[in-house]
Amino acid sequence: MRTAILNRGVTLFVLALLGLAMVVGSAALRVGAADHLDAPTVKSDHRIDINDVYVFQGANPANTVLVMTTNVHAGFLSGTSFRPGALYEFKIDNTGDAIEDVAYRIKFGDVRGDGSQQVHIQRADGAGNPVTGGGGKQVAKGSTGQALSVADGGMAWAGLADDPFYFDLVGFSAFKSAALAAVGGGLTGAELAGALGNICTSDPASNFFAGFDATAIVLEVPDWALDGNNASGVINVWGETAIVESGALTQVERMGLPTINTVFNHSDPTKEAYNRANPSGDPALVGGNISFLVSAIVGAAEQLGLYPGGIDEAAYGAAIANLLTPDVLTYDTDLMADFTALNGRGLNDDVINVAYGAVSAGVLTSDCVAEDNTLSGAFPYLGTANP
Amino acid sequence: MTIRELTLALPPRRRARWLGIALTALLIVAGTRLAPALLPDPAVPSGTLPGGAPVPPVAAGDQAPAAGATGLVSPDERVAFWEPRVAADPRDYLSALHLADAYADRARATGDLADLQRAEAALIQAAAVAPNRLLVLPRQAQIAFALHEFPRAASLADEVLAESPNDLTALAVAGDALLETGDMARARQHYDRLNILAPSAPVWSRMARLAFLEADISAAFSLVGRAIQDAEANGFADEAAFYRYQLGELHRATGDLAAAGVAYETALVALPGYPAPTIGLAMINEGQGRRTEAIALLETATNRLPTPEALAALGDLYFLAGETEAAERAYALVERIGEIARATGAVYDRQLILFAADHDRAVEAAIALAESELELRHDIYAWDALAWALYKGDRLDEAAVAANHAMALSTPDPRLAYHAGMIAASRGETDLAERWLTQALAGAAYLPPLQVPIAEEALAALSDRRQ
Repeated sequence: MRTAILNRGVTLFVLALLGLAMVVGSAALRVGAADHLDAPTVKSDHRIDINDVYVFQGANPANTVLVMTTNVHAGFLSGTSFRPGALYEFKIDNTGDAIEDVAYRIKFGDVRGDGSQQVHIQRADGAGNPVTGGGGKQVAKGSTGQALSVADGGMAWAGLADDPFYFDLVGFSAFKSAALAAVGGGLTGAELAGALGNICTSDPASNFFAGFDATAIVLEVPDWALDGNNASGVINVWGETAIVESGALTQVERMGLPTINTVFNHSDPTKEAYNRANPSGDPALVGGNISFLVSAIVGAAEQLGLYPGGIDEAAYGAAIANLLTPDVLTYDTDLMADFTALNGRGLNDDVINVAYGAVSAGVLTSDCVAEDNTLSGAFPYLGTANP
Repeated sequence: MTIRELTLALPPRRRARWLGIALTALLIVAGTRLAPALLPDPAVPSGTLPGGAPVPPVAAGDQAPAAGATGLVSPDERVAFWEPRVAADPRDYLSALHLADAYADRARATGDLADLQRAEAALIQAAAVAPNRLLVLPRQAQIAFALHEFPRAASLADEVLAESPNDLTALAVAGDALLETGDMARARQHYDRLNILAPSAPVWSRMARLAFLEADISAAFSLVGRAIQDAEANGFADEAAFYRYQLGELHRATGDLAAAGVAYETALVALPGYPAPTIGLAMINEGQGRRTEAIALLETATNRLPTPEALAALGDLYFLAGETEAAERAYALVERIGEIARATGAVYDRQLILFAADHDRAVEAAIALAESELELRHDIYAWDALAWALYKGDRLDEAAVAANHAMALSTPDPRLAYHAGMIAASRGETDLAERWLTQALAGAAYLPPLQVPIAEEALAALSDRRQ
């Protein structure tokens, strides 16, 4: 299991790197969350843009919950519907090769006068229902805003909800501006310290995502439906969206871990290509970018005295690239989700605090944002949409 | 209150302010649904799109769509949301960008020029702190386009495209600016690129307009149909209303008044009070002999959004109904708008040139304005405006040259045919004049009302002469 090789310190530092890496990966970032609006196709229709993917244990410990939020700032930057005819997918690998063994495929009908849409959910898991392509066995059908029963156990829900992501984006942006020029060119400790001065300028700091909604798909199914009763109970999960292009259903977006495409790919063509690729090819596709960037950041962090014993920047960069690829959320279905341990991702997990704490070697342990989620302990777990 | 009552009731200073607020009726920036930059910008002046001055609506105030809940909050609400955020933290460039978008959308809904100025100010604030100028430049290009500063809009868009060739906003603004300045080939390249990157209703609407200009009417209908279908399936009622309006304009230009009426009415069901289809519907009523209804509709539309072209049409209807004083007040209002507009830019120049020529008012000034505009814009409508003004200035040979440029694409716009036909008739080119005037009158409901009897008389005279 991938998480087993990580001690907490390494994990913290990985997340710290992610935090710093956002410095240089924000060219296409309009609202600055995990994977928002990262490439031209998804920027053309926010509804097919995946914000975040979450994987965690259900209220029933025998179940796993998959959540995909889409359509950042729904209602403010675009409407609140799902794109009719588009395919929204959860993909699950339960054999460790980052190739899907199970897929849940969600489609939405035309938007009705009241804003609701019909929802169809299919499951594909084998020869009878090939995971390749866009089909599968129908396991749920209904309307957005309704809790739907899933065949063979489980529940599904799709609709508008409070976006669970929280972050002082403004403070981070100022930090980013201050640090941007120096990344890759020898960021000094003093420069880094100066940049970090933009964080926590008030307490509590502003949560840029407070009061915003996202469209969300929530699927809760028995663990066995995902892990196939494999020995480890470990699965790899990612989300995808696909639309019809030139007459063919085409994958246009994917996401597992937060920020990977946003941070480590730096041009529209590479972001677009990444979104259309499969995770199994990630080491070759993005590994070099990760290694280069992480090495540069480690070099800067070293000047702050974070590594009294020194560090092999290149080796560390390569190790992190190996860790972060393939871009999937690894989750042990026998455990509670905890993003700090890279085991799934809970709705309330605070990536940013962890990252900042590591970036500042313990001096800065928070972006001073208090989470504002009104999550529920019961399905569908998300907070209700803002009035 | 009707326009007549309004013009009488308002004291001069307040009237001028009211007119100033109305000046940006056509000034919009890109929409907010699919790609924020992709909705067609109807800030194009009269004549570039069938029917003149479409105003894609947004859900604002009482313009909230009646069907197909989009879930998008109104520009007013968005302004109210973002303003305090921007005021609270000058570092907050993202909120400043969103505030600029909200201002621009509100300008589209209300015609308030001040909102475009506010949008520009918000963008300047954002630019001062934004880490990436590509976040700001495309929006600045949009605002420049809305203000009809086409060279600046194109320059800003090109600056973006040099760094980010697939930026949708920049592609859209650049394509639109190229179209407005007559570079059809390069506009097509941009639209084709957009259609690859983001095949969607706003792109098809643009392509439909290009097809109309190039006389491919079948393609224009097909593309608009696709846009309607796409927008309605996605629940974008306000966008769909605009595309229905665009469909109505195509039908009106090609003389199918019944179909045009259905399209306008459908647009108004989706978005009650939407001025552009209301104006179209008024023209249909006039074309079908229901002048009283036409006047009532135009009064409604101009009370809401008093554009020069709509006011001129209303004045024409008053005149044809024998209400010459009301007509003169409407015409005076058009001229007053023109005076104010020229103080803030060139937004209404083309409409004002045509108004002056149509009504034989300050023709020499209109010629000068048309010549000036042609220096910046070389599209067929710039040539048409010059041709018509020159004709009214009795410079017939020059008018004929300009008219030939205007008709170069064989665009099936009855107004172009009317102008070219009158010019040909004045030069004794009987066959040509008959052909073009016949073509113009086939879409008579598309002509300014006062020009219809003039065209009919000219055609009859040609027929008499032949006999």
